[in-house]
Amino acid sequence: MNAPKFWITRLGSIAIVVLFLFLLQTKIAPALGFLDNRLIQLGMLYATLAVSLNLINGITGQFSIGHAAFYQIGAYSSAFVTIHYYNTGTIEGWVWVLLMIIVGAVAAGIAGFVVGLPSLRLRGDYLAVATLGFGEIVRIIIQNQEKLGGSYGLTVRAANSPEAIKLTQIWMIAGLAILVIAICRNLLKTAHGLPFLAVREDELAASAMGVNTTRTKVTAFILGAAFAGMAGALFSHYEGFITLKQFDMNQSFLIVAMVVIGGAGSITGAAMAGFFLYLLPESLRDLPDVSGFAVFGFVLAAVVALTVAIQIRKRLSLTQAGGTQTAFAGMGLIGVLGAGYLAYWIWSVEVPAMTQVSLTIMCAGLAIAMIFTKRRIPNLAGFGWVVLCAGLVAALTIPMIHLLQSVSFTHAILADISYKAGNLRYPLFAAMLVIVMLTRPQGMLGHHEFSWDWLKRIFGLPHKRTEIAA
Amino acid sequence: MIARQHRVALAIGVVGVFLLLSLLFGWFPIMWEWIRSRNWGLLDQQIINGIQLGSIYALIALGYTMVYGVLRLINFAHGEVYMVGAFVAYYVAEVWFEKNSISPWLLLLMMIVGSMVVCSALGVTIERLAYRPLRSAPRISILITAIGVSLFLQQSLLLVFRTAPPPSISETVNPFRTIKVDLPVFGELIFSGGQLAMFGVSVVLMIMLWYVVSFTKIGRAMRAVSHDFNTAALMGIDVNRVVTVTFIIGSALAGAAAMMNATALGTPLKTDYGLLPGVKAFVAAVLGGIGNIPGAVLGGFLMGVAELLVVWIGQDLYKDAVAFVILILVLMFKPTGLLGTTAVEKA
Amino acid sequence: MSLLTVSRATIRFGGLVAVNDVSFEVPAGKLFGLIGPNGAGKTTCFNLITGIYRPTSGDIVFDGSSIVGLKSHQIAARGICRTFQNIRLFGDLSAIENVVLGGFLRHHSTMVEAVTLLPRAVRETDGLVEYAMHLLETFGLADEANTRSRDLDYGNQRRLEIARAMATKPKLLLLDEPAAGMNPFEKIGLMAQIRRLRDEFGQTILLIEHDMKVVMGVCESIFVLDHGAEIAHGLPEEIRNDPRVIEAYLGEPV
Repeated sequence: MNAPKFWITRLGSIAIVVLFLFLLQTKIAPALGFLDNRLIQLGMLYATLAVSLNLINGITGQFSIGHAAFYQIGAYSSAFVTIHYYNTGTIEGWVWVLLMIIVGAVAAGIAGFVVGLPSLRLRGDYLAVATLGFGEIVRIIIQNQEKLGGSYGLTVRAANSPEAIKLTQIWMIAGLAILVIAICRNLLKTAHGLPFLAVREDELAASAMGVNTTRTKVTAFILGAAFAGMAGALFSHYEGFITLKQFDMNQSFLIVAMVVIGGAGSITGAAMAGFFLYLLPESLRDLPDVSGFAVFGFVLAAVVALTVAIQIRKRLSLTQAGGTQTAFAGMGLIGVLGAGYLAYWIWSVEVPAMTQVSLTIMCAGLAIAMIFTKRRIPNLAGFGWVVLCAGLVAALTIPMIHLLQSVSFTHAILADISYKAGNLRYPLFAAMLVIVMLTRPQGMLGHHEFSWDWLKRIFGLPHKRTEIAA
Repeated sequence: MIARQHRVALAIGVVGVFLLLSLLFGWFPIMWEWIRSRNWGLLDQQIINGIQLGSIYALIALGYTMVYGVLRLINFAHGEVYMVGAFVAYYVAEVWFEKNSISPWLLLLMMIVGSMVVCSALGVTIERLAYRPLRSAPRISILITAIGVSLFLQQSLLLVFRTAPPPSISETVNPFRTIKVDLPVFGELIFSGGQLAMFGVSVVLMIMLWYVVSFTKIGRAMRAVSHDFNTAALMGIDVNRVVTVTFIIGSALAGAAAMMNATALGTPLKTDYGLLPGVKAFVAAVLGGIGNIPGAVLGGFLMGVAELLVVWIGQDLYKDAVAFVILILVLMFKPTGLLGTTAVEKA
Repeated sequence: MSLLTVSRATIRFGGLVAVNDVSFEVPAGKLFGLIGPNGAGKTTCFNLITGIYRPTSGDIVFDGSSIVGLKSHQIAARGICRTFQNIRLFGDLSAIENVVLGGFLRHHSTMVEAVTLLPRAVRETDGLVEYAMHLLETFGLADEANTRSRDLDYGNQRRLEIARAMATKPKLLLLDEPAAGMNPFEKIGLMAQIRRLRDEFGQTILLIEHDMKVVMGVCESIFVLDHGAEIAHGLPEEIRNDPRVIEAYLGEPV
């Protein structure tokens, strides 16, 4: 590579990022409503968290499931410093937040070092449980510190005023997400990323090739934790008020689920999963209440569909008879119609634009997947099977709802039950995690990075051969 | 000139004597004051309470350890099975207590049987739907699935059992809760009748389990499978049946523990009811040596005693943290646990 | 002068003495064979040299200094690299990534340079990739450079392991049964490649092998172990006719 071209691309990409952040802050964010802004900012924080955990979990292969603890340490340590040392009017707010990011990173990085040490002796599920235990210890200790607000929560305020301050701006959150993604991507683009991958693949062989496995693992933990701590610092100065509930075990599981669903080891997978898996369920909050008939009709349909689909898969046993193709195509058609109806419906009800756009994207994705999947059956039967299930569920839901409504016994029970759509997001999330594990254990992207060629290959379109990766 | 190792020994000796002296004259009075200020009268009571609490942890821990022994899987959903057991007990009491004035003995029996049956069914269902398809998958995928199942049960049951305030099993259901029993043999120890009954039932269940594992055909098959899954399968043992039976027994024990704990304490039942007991029982299983059945019982008792000792010291805010501290210490220094032989997964 | 000197190395696992009082010297630039029946302690010897086990007693001197007690990666940095009897490639990485990792030891740029993509890190990575490609060509794997190493066939996986070890530019290369599982044609190719390593790269090689044809065909000096102890050493012809060796392999002489 020649030097001028090198510097032009490097500086050019940095300039583009700066320009993007500037536009985001001054043009895009003001154009969106408060709620949409909030969703986007939290979504980007989750993307940061997922990418940082991916460095530990996916790239280095050290299964850690206590990531919310690092997030929490970053949030509380920076909030504590702000409460004691920040005076409004003395220093620009945004400069102070950037300093607090460093505080959060250092505090969480130290914690990451402490948690990284057990990883030298423990592997697999034992390490997972130890990190979980560490996360809970952090939470319980903070719960019992009155100076940190204990179980009541902590208001982030300046030392000279009792009011909560919210110093974080959208460009910082977006900038952090881009920074973390860029660091991870650059690491893997140079030979420096290979020791991390080698530790994941085979520790003994890695050390025989001269990789200092101890240092590699601890580095991954420190880096991942520091990134999460930075996100935590931005979070506490964004919310202005933090409580323990925002960092509990479920939160840790949520982040793990994002990494796993996105595909452990894939940076783009983790980032997209972090962003969208936060955004989509969260946008359910704005939907109208869902009746008990609909929820249980859906559950019933899912159970029936799963049973039927398992039977079909058993009978066909992955052979590619012409009948299978037709069956999948039929199911795909039903699924596409269902997705189209959902997309139509979402624009007819009163919900924020963000929700409409995200749900439409989801529907379109579903529909595209269904249309193209039949080309992939020979080499990805599992994926086709998922589509079959989805199609069956879509087809069966309405009849099942009618069934529940017409039987007097279920009608009596379900008639006056309705659920807030927002409350359905965690069950949906958990079910999705289990289903992804059962059908595609390597996650959406597996170890791959997202690229158009990869997408083309998945759908069986003509594509280039992948170039050298290292 | 003294040889090098002698000089080192001398230095260690001098420092040691100095430390000992400073300990005696500096720390000893403080420690003595602390020791004197404790309420020693409560210690034996707390230890006994700890053993009783430990019997509950032991019952749950048995489920973890048996499943781990057979499948090498940390069944994260076990705590949720426990939670469901408590809810089943509550609903059985709710339905039968209001309508029929049956004897409390019969009612309690129905509650415990109901919990055990429903929990067994739930455990087997979870294994069938979520774990069996993944049996040859990497262990981390199964672990994630277990976490997913646990989250799913917790969050979806939140939609179903969403009465506010959270329900609890009333005192009237369990008359034994209020009966105080004084044990003169041990001085002034006081129990509720319920506590004694709980301990008794737990011990009976453990003895039954011991009998099943040691002396029956299926017990022998279970031991063989936990020794070597693949070889056992090759030797003609129906491993699927063994796994199913393991989940039935483990979940039933958790159901019994849940019913007893919920009835005796009357804690408000929420869907995260199983989270902490589940984690603590898991720690108990690790402490005793995961995969080892007597180890789980020992670990359960130690766990219960340790928790109440923390309360006795006066740090009851930290009583939940002690489990995790024990966990990390065990994993760091003796990963096989106290009685275990199963080595921690190596490279 | 000898590159590697193992003197009186012994290791016990509980009551079992896996390697008992073994001494040998590997001279620089030679192809040195280590043979013996199953369970003779050959792979344990490798594990002692590469720091996976620490000898109970005895000394191992490499290139003038003792390497006893060093960690595996430190020994690799001193210039000893190995392959494994049961192939241990980084399965999810491509063939070329495996080899590039081998070259990582000779890397000078820091991690900060890497994550900011400063020119030196990029240049070094490019250099490593180039060298790795050269090695893959040497081993006839150039077409498979982007294949996941898990998906390679068995013989290619064996060759890739040697290429990966060569990428560390070791002073001493340890090959643990490189011909295991290969068919006779592949074995002939492998022998040629091993000789080429010595001739082209001047590589010193210590080789464990079961296949007598391979050992006798490439090794210039052979050391025979049985039950953890030395029973013979010398030139291939001497070993071939040594009665103790024949007895160890075939049992009691008729």
